[in-house]
Amino acid sequence: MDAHLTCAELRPMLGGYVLEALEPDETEAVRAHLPDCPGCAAELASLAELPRLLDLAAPVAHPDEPLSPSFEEALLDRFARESESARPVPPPKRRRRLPKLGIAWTRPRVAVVSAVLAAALAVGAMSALDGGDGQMRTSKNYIVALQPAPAAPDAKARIALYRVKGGTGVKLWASGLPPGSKQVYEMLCGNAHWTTSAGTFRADAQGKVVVRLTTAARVGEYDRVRVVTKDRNGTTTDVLTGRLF
Amino acid sequence: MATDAQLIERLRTDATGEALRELYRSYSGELFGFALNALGERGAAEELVQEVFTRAWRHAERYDPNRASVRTWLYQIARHAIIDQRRRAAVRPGLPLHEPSAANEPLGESVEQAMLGWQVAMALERLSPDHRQMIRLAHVQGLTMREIAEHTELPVGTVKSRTWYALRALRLVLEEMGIR
Repeated sequence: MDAHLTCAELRPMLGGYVLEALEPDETEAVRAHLPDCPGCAAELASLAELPRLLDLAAPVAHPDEPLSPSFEEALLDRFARESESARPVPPPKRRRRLPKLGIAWTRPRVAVVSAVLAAALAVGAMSALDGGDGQMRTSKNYIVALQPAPAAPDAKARIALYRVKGGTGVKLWASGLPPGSKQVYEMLCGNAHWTTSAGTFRADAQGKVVVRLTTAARVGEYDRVRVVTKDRNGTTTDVLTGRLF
Repeated sequence: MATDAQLIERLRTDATGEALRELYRSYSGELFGFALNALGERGAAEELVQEVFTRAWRHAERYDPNRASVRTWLYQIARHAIIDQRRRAAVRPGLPLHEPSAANEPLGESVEQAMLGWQVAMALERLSPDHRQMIRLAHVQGLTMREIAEHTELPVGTVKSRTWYALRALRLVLEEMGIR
């Protein structure tokens, strides 16, 4: 081995040198070169720590199964609850006193008329809430029928939305989804500008599912709901879609 | 697409949870692997991953992008969480979390070593198969450059240069991961 190596000849040997995998004469040649060559010495210094780190690397066991998607949902649920409770409470609004009009309800029939008017308004409001568009709002739930997308033409589904602390709870009933328990579905809530997830789920072997999910989006912040699948490249495909308003 | 540091910044004000979800999807897998190796028990590892992300959002304002990458910060949180778990387990001797490490080794030090070991393993996985093979044959199996050339039927010059490039690539990956 030539004891007077050029830098170009020596550099490729530095890997074997730091891993102590060179022949003895090669090791000597590298040692002879280094004291007079700051460039090669610096290159060596940048690699010198690696064998110690490599000693730490083995052995490593990989998990047999990845984390279940339910852990992601549990985390988001906790986040939704805590972010709601951490939200600063606005100071109570001062009620503006209206000037007294001095109307005297002297006649009983005026009270009867006002009661009838109130009842009529209530009936009108109920009609408006159930407008024949597949949506029905009760005092607690808001039920929406989802439409099948071409990826799942036989699917039938409806969701019930209900207010929970920090977001919206969603209960989904679906059938006719493509069978196969490996497929993970994700429910997305959003509007024209943004989308947020309500969580992931799987259907059973018959393509049926009943599941409760939670999204941090609040009632009124979103107007559309989609159930999608994602492939390995992150491309989403609609399976079910629905509009809320 | 937001950077990890921007996602941490968003955690402070994001009410939708999307920033947290993105971070979780980026890092929960490798943190779970690390936790499983460090704790040796799946349930404890799952709990630890939840704890890491919970602490991350609660203390998002403490993250300083000038001091560490998001990955390094999350691993540091994991390290503290493991130390806390082990201390809790130590006062409940009936519920050991893992085989005790060297008798007199400080707890934080052993977790630090486990964390570093896991990250180096992750870095090795990011190398090309050719580069990983050179490092494995030379460092793990202890073969010389000449023996590797015979084993792989490659010219010895190729083996030398490939080993050098492999170590340079490993150093770069480790630097990207915040390990210097």
